[in-house]
Amino acid sequence: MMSVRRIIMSLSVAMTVMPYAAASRGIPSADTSAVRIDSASVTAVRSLGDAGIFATSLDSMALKENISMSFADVLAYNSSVFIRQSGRASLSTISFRGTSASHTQVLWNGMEINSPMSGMTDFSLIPAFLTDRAELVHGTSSLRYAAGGIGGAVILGTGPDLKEGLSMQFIQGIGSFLTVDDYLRIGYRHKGFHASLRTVFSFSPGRFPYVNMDKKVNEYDDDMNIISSYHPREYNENGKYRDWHVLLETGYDIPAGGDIRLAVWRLGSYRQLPKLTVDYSGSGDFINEQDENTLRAVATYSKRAGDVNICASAGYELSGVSYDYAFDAGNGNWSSMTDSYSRTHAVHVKCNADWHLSDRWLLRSSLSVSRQMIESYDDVSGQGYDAGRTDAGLYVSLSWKPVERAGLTLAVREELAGDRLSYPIPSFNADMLVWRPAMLYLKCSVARNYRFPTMNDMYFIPGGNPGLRPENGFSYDAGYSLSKDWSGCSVAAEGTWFDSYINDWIIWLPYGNRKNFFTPLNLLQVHAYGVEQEVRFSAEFRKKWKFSLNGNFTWSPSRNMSGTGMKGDMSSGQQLVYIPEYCASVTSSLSFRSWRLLYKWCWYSRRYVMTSNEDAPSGSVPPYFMNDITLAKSLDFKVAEISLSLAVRNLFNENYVTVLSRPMPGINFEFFAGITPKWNRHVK
Amino acid sequence: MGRFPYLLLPAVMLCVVSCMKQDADSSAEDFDFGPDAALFIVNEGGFGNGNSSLSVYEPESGVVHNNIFRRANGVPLGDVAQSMTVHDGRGWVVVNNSKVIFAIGLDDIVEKGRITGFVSPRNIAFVSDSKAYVTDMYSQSIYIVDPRTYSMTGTIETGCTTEQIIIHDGYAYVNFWSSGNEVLKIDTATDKVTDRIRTGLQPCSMALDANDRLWVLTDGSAAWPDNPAGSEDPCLHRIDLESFSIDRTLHFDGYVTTGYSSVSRLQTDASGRHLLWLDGEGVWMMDIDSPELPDGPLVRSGSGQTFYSMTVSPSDGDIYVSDAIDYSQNGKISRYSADGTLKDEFTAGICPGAFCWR
Repeated sequence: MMSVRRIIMSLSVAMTVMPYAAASRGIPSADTSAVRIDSASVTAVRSLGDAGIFATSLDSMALKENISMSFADVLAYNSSVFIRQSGRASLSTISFRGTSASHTQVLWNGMEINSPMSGMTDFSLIPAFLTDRAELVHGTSSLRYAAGGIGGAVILGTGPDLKEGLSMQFIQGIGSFLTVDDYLRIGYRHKGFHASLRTVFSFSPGRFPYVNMDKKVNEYDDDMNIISSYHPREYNENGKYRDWHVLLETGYDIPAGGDIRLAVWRLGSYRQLPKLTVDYSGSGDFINEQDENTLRAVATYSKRAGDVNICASAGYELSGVSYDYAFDAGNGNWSSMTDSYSRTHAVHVKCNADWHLSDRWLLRSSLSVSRQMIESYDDVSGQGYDAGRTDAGLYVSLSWKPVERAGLTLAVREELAGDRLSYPIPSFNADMLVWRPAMLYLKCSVARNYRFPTMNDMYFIPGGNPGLRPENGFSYDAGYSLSKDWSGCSVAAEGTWFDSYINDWIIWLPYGNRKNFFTPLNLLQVHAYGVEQEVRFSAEFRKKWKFSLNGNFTWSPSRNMSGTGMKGDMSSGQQLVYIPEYCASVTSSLSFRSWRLLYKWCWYSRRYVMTSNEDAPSGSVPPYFMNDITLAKSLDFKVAEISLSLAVRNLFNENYVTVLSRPMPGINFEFFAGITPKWNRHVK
Repeated sequence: MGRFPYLLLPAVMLCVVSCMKQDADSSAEDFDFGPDAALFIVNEGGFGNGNSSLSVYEPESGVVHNNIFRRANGVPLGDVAQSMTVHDGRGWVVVNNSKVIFAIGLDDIVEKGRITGFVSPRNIAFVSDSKAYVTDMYSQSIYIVDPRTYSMTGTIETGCTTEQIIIHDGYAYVNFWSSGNEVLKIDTATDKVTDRIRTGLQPCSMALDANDRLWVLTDGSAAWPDNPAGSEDPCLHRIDLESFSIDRTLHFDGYVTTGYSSVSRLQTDASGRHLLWLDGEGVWMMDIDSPELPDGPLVRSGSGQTFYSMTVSPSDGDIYVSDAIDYSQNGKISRYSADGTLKDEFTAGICPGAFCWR
């Protein structure tokens, strides 16, 4: 076992000296139930079409390691991407490789769900409980799924329960700050037919206490001279949220091969936007809240006919968002600053076909068409826009395996946005197995990247700029992956160097004559480069103890190379705002029989608020570490399995911020109790 | 069990690196500026970031001190600092989106007190040592405050939002800027609106000249043709305060059709004999008796330069203009002599939006 010890020691040093990385393909992690889970195996066999693809899969256990997590929280601890959020139930966006949130494409059951208005997805509105499959596709490897993912893509999916008969799971969570979480899943499967219903309800006043380091309370003498002052202990005011989700899935597995599926997801979200730490107004004299109602539905038909796999899908999305920002102006009058709403209809149709020409050749094609209709209006300013756009994408790739150990893929994508046609977007990916005992692969890719402006970029009033050019450039990747299993232990690692040049990067600025409002401009040239590393290790001892450790590390300088061209501009050569140059995360679990202890740690380096990268307190957000821990226990009875767990967040009660002037909670707790009835003990 | 100390080692080492050291910025610095530190610069910061700041500039030596409020008090100034007024040896800094007005010492910059309870405060003007008015962009009232007790003592119903205040001879003159077109006259003895006069669209700034006539500059929302309130060419009104009527109007032609930048920041020089203002082309200056607008700017903004705010030195007539650059980095201040010659350039805070002379 000396070799095992050496590996453990090496990992310890690596994780400490340089926070190391690991993504979580097959992470054996904790659930609210403390069921012992066999170590997930790392699949080392690549399909022909995956040659040179840089992707990280999150297994279902990683998604459900803490049931109350949003997908953003899951990624924060299990991937190398940067999550920007300011607390639970706040806008959470993710950025790959030093790019912005709108450079991340998000697909749910094959349908693109980025808002056509902002180009982003709020991951706090995606509960991990509703996600069964997740894959992070890094860089231009995402071209296989969609265009515009200059940073990458997040591929989310749901799937049916594999158990025959009726099944159910219910989990109740109660936590600090009067937080309540309810999760219910009912499933049924019989002879190929399956249906499931999942619901999520989350509520919290979000009124957590914190010491406000951005304010001082004064004490005066009789002559109104300040005699002392102190940092007050305040509450996060106006932080209430109430989210609910219903996900209905049904489908039929065709005996001859293929399946038909329908997934319908309805969500409602009411969220207040908390006050700034530097807000001196009273607690009840304003309204700042957002209400969202969204319906998404996707129908999919898959069929395998000989050497051809065909998948056709149709999706629909209806989303309404209202935002209200008003102040009590006294005497019962409310002064409204913003009273806006937006309504988005989107229809998507997509068809994929994979044709295995031979054992060594694969032809893959995809055609997608979508139509977005947007109505956006603000009652206060009395203006808005009503616009529609039809987008289409065509993707064709040819994969070839010249020898057993090597694979090559040449692809091209063509995009249409309204009446604008993209340049051809080519990509080339390759990999090679160089050392079979450790399944050591080397891989590389080169691709053009391209992103059309969003609807807000073009039409928002005031400031929309219909003359914007698409962002474009080239990206290069090279990396390795390896995995090794032996006598109860497994080690795997993956590393990537990436290099992207993006021209015509869009930023919003009060510009030139229009200094009263912001307008988007193609001003910047950005060079985003760096390294992503992931490491994972798991071991089992005497069939009672299991240990796993997964680490991720990203170094991602993302430099504004051009500056804005304005006189006196100091932004040239500086890191983009709110993009950390370094980030890392580690998830470690230790289980013994029906007990499980999960420790999660993440770290972000300093993020700049000013384009000139000032280190001053008002110009940057300090680096921070965060530590969470969960202890879980399962009780196995004849009629049901009971799961109990206690999650402790911000374990060391750190006083920190992730976004300037937005308070974050100190140590907080949530207790979960779950029940899974054993209704189908007789079913084999 | 013998192996488990090794298994736990990574977790233990993680705990070691998990202790966090925040930026130590809550300690206060001691300042004693004196009269040389004559020009205060109010830097708005980025909306929602809470990173407004205050700078002070010494015109004689050319030395600038940035971020002095935070350095003196150990806390940030707040979100979107809007304006500053000096009264009774104190500086009164209005922080718009923090809904607070700080009173600070002019030498030590230490907070002496604060007034809260506003909706969206913009400017403060002093009627007396015991009474001041505060305008508000989202309230249809002007707040009356007592600077001695840092308390709000009443309101003046205006029926509109309010922006700038000029107090003269027992009356306060206030402009209704945002989507508005009025100047209000308020009796400072009774705290009542006694008269109002219609102007061009969006009177953005006002100045009192040497002849005690009130000049009002409207921006017409010329750079924003989609404004629901309308859009028109800017104009410059002269108001006779005796009759409270407009006795002269000069029109800025072609601003809407060319999409030219709005005019802003009207003020007089120290003599009160010249009017100065900004637009996209630069700094403009006009004699108060001139029958027409000048042909060209006194100071022309350079390539890639957009003037954001301006002040004129009451002692030597030097003109200071700010450039917010990309509104997300420290802005630049350019100092020109009264004839438009560049004398100095220095860096202030994010988005320098207002100036205040000691």
